[in-house]
Amino acid sequence: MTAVLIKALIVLVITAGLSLTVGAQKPEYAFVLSLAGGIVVLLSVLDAVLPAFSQLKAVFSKAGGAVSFLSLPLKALAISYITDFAADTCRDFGQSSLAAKAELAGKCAIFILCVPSGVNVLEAALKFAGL
Amino acid sequence: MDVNFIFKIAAIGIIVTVLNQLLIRSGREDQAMLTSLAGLVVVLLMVVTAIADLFSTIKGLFGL
Repeated sequence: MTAVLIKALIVLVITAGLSLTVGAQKPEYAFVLSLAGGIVVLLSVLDAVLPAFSQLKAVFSKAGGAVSFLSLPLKALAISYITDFAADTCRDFGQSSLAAKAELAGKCAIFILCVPSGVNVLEAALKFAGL
Repeated sequence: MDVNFIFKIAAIGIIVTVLNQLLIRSGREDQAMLTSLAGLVVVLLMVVTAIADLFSTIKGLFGL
């Protein structure tokens, strides 16, 4: 992981420098460059984290049926990552209202994702209450 | 996905800037505009494929 971290940091610094130099002549390339740098770093980090996820999944699947307890937070995490990516990109280029809309969409997606589990909890509580 | 991806985009930016300056100095403003537009379209296509790659990776990784 340390090698991935160092690579990511170097890529980010190089991207910042390139987008400063090229962006001075053509500002639209600064946008594209920072987007590309973010994508490269995110992809390399996700590749590095993949084995840890499969390990966690293997442990949870041993518990029998507990994989769904793992998959829900992971899905929420993924939604928040891609929403954050889009919102930060918008905010970097001065479109904070678009960033707010992206965050709203992400929040709604996570809420919709979580509603079935919440309903299950409420139903269990109602059953205990004898209603 | 590699660092070369970023260098490619920066190189396209520099080449387009130089071509733009050359065409403007030789009095062909419309061609200069078309050149910079073409460069931007090429770069945006590269980035869009990269974004699709990123999103499909996240989908596969987190089981969305």
